[in-house]
Amino acid sequence: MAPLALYQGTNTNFCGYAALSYLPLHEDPLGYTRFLLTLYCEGKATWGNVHFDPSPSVRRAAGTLRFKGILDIRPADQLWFLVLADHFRSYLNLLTRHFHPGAENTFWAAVNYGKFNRMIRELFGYRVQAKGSDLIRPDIPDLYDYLTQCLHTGLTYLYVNNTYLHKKNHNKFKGHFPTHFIVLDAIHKIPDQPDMVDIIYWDYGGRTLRQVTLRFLKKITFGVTVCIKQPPPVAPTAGPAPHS
Amino acid sequence: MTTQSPLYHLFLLAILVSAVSCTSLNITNYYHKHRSTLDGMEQIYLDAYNTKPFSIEFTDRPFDHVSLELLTDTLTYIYEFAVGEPRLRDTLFKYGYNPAPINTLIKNMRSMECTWINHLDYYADETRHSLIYISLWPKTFDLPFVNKKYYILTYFSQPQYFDADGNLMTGRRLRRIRKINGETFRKINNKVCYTISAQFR
Repeated sequence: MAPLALYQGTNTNFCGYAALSYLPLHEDPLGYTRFLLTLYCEGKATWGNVHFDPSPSVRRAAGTLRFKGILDIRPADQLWFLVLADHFRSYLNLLTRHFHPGAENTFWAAVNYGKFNRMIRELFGYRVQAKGSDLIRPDIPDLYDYLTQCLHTGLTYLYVNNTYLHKKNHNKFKGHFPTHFIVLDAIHKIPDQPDMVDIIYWDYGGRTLRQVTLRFLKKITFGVTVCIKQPPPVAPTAGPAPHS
Repeated sequence: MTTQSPLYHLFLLAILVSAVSCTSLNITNYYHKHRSTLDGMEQIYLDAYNTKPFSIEFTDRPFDHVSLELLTDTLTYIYEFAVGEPRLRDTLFKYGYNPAPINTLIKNMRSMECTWINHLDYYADETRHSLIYISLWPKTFDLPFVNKKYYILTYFSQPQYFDADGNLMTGRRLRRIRKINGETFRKINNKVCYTISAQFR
């Protein structure tokens, strides 16, 4: 499967899980495949230090989600998203604790900023450098410089207000909170237009290039997460055998 | 002449607003009235999309600004233009699009108050099918302090199945209401359906 084609499904709240999947699909696709096969065959599996034992309702639902676009014919992706949503919980999921048909479109599957960063740390063992929150935008004086630096440091996620980025209606009053995770791939200034930038980002199973003003980018960005790969633990070097 | 109290005027205003906000168009009549233009738009879009995929969005109420999504194998480019801006034509040339059908579409979309035209995939029996998704934003639905509503028209490439109430179904044998983009659709004719939605896409 092409890693970039992973699609969260139409009208679901799986965007956080789809975004974080970008990491294993690029860094450890074999581990991802092994995990899903074990989960499918045995009903439970372990990734890193996290053991997944999905609830019966999630086991029944995996593979049966419909009317979600190409996710309809990708049962393994359905299984992955449902299992992540079932296992990792946060305050956003308090009111809808258990899966029921249609819960994938509700707060049952929602991901807030803290939970997103926690999932990356616990699952993949990356060091996470996060700036932002669920309600207040981070204070970053020079967003362009900061994001450029982040892109040099590691894989960079943006936690954004999608009602502006991917507009679905023309209502004057929009929610002023973040709703979507995207992977930032590149950012470039446009010559002769000091306030305009080209951003390239990944979401909804594809990469997009879009011209936006820095003001707009600042307005929609509520979190910037950089994932830094940790060096493997150094094995103790074998010293000379002690003289007896 | 008696002077009316401010409360009375407020009451009249509330009745007026609620009456106007309940106004709706009959989408079936609307479709039949503008059928040639709407079907023509669908055909032009389908032909142009099959040559090189793209979608068009009008981003404002006066229909003065248009956003193009140009799809390539590796990247989707999103650019916004003022209608008639030379930059639009240059961009289309740069990415290898024929500007003629796209300009015709933009003109027709403006006249029909169409805010979005797109190609959408849906799946039936593990098989991919596609449809053309057209969102209309008529003035009736554009009231201050009221959330916007859109007429959505879907053009299927083959005849569909419907229940007795005209709801779009998944198939002849599997009697289940089909949802597209989270919405249920109703029949206009065998290949064209409609819904009213709070979202244009």
